[in-house]
Amino acid sequence: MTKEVPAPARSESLAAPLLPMLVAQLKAELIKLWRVPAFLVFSVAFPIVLYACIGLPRSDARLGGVSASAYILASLATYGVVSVMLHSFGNSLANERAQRMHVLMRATPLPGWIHLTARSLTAVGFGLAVLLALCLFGAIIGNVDLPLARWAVLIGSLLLGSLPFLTLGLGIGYLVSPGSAPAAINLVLLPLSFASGLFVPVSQLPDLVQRVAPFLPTYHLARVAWYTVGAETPDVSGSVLWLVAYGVVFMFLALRALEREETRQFG
Amino acid sequence: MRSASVELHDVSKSYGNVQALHSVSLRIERGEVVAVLGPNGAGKSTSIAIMLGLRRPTTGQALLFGEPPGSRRARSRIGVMLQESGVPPTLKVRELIDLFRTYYPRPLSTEELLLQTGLDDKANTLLGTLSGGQKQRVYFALAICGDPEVLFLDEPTNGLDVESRRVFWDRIREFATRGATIVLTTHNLQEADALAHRIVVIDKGRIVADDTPSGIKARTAGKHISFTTGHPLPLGFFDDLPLSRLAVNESAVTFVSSEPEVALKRVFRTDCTVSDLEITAIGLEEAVLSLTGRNGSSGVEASRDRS
Repeated sequence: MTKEVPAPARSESLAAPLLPMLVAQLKAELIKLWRVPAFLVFSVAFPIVLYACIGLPRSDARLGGVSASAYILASLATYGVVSVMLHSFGNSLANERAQRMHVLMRATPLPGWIHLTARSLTAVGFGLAVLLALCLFGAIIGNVDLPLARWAVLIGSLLLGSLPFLTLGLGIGYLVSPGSAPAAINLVLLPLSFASGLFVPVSQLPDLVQRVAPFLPTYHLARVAWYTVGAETPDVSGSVLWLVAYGVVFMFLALRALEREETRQFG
Repeated sequence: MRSASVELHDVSKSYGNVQALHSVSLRIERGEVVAVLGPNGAGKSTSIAIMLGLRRPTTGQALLFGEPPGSRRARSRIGVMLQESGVPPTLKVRELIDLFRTYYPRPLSTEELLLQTGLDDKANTLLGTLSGGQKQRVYFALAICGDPEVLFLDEPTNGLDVESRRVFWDRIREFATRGATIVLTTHNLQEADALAHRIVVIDKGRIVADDTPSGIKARTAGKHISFTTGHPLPLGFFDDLPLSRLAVNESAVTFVSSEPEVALKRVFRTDCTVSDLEITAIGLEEAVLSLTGRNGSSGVEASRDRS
C-alpha cells in the first residue's frame, strides 16, 4: 500500500485470526444442520431405510455381476451423498436468505470465502456420515464383503465425485425463492436419481429413460460406485470426465446465480 | 489529520428508475451520536447500507475511518444492527454470540454481553423460540460484541412496545458512554431526541436539516391551526406574525405557528365570528415538511404513498 496509515491506537491486531473463525463457523454450520429434523430424516436416514427395504431382501440375488446387496448399496450411497450435497447447501443458503441473515453476515468482518468453506466442509462431513452409516449397515447386515481398501475407495470417490452437486446446490440455493428450495432440490434430485438407475437398475428402466441415463451426472457418479464394488462396468474414465464437465457447468451456473444475487442485494 | 468515523461524499444512489439518494454529503466525527431521521422510504436505510459498504453508491464515495467500508479492517471496527435481519432458528443464543465474537479481534466477553442485553437467562434458548423483543436484544448483542468504535443501528426499536423501547434506549445510552460513535436511523422524532446529539433529517433522498435536537425541535415545534371566519379577513392581516404555510381561502384559514396564541388573539380581537377552530400538534411527516418548506398537502400525500 502506498498510502501512509497512521499507527492505530490499538495496533496489536486489526482483524481477528481466520482459522478460529473457520473452526467456529464450521461448528455452527454443523449444529445448525444437525438440528433440522427434516434434513436428518430425508437426507441422512432415508437412504438407509431405503436400503433396508430394497437392498436387504435380495441379498442372495445378483446384479451387474455382483451381489444385489452390494450393487444396491453402491446405488443408494450415490443417492445419499448427492442428496446431502444438494440439500445441505441449498437449504442453509435459502434459509439464510429467507431470514435476511446473509445481509447481516455481509456487514461483519467474516470473509465470504470462510463462510463458503465452512458450508462446503459441513456438506462433505454429512456426506461422509451418510456413507459411513450406509456402508456399515451394508457390511454388517447386508453381508456386503469388500476389502477395507475398497470401502475406502468407494467412500472417497463418492465424496470427491459429488462435489459438482455441491456447486449445483449452491446455484439452486441462490436461484430459487427461499421457501421453495427443498421442493426445487427434490424436483432435481428425485428424477435424476430415478433415471440414473439409483432406485431401479438401469436395465430395468423404460427404454427412453435408458437412453437418457448416459447423459446424467448422477448416472456417471453411480458408475464409479458400481465399478468400485466390483460390478461389470466398462472403463469408468469416461464417467470421470463427464463428472468434471458437469462440475464446470454447475460452477458456471453457481457463479451466475451469485452474480445475480450480488447485483440485486448488494448492488 | 484524524479521519472522521463516517464520511459520505456527494453520494447518489438509484435503483433502476428510482433515485433513492441525491448527492448526500455527511461527515460524522468520532464519538458523535447521530440520528438519521426521516419518514419511511426517505433513504435512511440506503444511506446506512452505503456507509457499511453493503450497497455501492451510483456516484460519490463512502468512507469508514477514511477507508473503503467493505474492507475487513474497517468492518472489524464497527457493529451493525439491521432492520428485519433474521437469526438461524436452530442455534442457541450463546452459540450465535460466541460465533460472532470470533469475527472480531477484541470481542467483549460472552457473559458481559448476555448481562448487558438482559439475555443471561436466555443463553441456552434456541433463537427460533425467542419473541420479537428478545430477538431485537440478540441483534443488539451481535452488534456490540466486537466492542465497535462505530455502532450502526437501523431502526433499532422498530416494532417494540413503549416499555421495551425505553429499556432499549437505556442500553444504547449505556453503550454510548464507552465513547463509541453511534449512527442510528429512526422515523421517531422522540427517539432521535432521546438518544442523539445531532439529528440529520432526510427526506426524498436529500438531507433537509442537520442540527442539534433542540435546533430541530425549535424548527418543527409548531401547531397546525385551522378555523373559519364569519367574513373574510383583510389582506395582510397576519403579515407581521411568526407563522408559516398560511393559506386563506375565502373565510377558511390555515397556518402553522409555534405561538398560535398570538395570532389567535389578534383574530379574536376583531368583531369577526370564529368557528371550526382546530389546533393540532405537528407530526413528524409535517415537521419534515416544514423543514423542506414544501407545499403541505401534496407533500404529505407523497410521503404517505411511500410508507
